[in-house]
Amino acid sequence: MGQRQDRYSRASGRIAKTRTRLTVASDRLDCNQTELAQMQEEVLDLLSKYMNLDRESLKIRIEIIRETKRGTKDVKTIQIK
Amino acid sequence: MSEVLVVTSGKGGVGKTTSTANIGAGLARLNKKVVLIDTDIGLRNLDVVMGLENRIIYNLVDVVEGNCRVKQALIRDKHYPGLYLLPSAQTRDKSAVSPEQMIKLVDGLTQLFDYVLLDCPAGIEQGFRNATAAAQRAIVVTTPEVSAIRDADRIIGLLQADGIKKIDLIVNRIRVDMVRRGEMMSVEDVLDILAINLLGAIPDEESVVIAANHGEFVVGSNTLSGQAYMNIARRIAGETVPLIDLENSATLLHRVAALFRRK
Repeated sequence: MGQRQDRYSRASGRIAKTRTRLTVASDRLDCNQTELAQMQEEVLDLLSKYMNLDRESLKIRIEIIRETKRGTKDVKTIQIK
Repeated sequence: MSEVLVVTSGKGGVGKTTSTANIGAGLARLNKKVVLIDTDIGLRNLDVVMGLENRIIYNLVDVVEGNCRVKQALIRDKHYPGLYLLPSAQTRDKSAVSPEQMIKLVDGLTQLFDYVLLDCPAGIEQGFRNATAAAQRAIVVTTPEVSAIRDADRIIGLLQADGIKKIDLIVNRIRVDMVRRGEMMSVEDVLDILAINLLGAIPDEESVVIAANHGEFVVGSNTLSGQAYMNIARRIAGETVPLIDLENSATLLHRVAALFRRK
């Protein structure tokens, strides 16, 4: 019950944005959202080992670069946080 | 030099056909010669949006199969002498035309027109392949909804993989009142996720529906959506036009409306 109220107390626009971001990222990476969240945590854990990070304000972009047939680079940028 | 643009979205019902019609009319208002091609074989729509459904004699498939010359199938718009429609076939299916045939057809039309606009069917199957094969640039239409943005992202990926270099975005059906209350994603939110160039944002207005009911264009009318489409046409034609501040343009109307509601 409490959880339900929590969800609805947030404006739905923000919920929509978060859901879109997660869906798009998991589509692009071809992995499910649980794996995506897990990867996000692991990347942050890894980086935190080597540098001082503010985990809340941090944005991480992952670029997947794939060489295509035509010799041009197909770059996909995925923002995970 | 003429330009070939495909208007696409992935998801259906986000306003591809309405956008194609109004951008085409906008370009015609700028004295460009424009042809709109309805590539949705089996589910033709652009003719009714433009109010030209009673003038169809030949269609896209007739041209491709050589039943008529391309000029015989072109329908001149009621309002703009520089605007033409090449209607789709209603009784055939997507396999009636191949990407190679579309490329050949469009090649011929670039000799006659400044702009060729291809109205793409929903989905990512052959209809999409046909429409995009001949295009140099793409306009992706989306709405501020999770499903539409997700599909737009897929489409952008496919267009990039196809080697289409210039891909621009239209965010359709923005409801400023809902954005203000935080109950709808804003244009900025959508851009944040899709990360491509914004060609324009269209407010969700009754005038768009009413114009389509009559088979008329909203572009050229004194409405925010009409202005927004006109600005998009100008940008396509190479002009630099600042974005309309939907938020503040609507505020005055909104306030007036709220004033009346309170009474």
